[in-house]
Amino acid sequence: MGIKVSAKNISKSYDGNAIFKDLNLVIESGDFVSIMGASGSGKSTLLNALSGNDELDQGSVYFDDVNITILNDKDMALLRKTKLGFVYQFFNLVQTLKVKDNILLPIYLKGEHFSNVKPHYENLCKMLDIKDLEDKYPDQISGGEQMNLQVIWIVTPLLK
Amino acid sequence: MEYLSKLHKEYQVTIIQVTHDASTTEYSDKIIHLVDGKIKD
Repeated sequence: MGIKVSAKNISKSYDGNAIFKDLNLVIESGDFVSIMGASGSGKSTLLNALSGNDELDQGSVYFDDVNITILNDKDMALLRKTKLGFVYQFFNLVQTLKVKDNILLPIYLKGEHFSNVKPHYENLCKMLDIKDLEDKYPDQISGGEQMNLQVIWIVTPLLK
Repeated sequence: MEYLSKLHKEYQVTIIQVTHDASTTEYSDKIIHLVDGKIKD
């Protein structure tokens, strides 16, 4: 399916300590990759580098053949909004929005209306069996469920 | 993890996860081990 992300000779250090040096990595499109390592092994730094959340000391990261290392903030923000989804260990649902609006947040941020994605949204809810949660607020569902729902953000930017 | 796996299959999205919990890697196609900033094959 081709290459989704590739890192070429990337280096990063903090306060003079090299986190990684001349690292090369290729991730194929459609892959489900786990980066494993002990605390301090550099795995979070690597993820931040691959997703353009952190500047590199050396090397380049390509996303869909675009060198994201040289993108300005505006173009990087656009890429993040349209092609990337982030899920954090500690859930970050917006507490004042219903579950449905939380799921659709990436759509609203793109300036699109719900009607544009309605069939896809309904398909998503059906697939994950979450129809009975959509009108609840985050504090009315369990922490585990909030965490599960945040995972949906990896695909909502793609709904069209 | 179950949602993540379903979304991966249904939408064919590329997923990169960072973890130190081996039990969360069961749905992965590939595991990259990072030791002191180097990839171990």
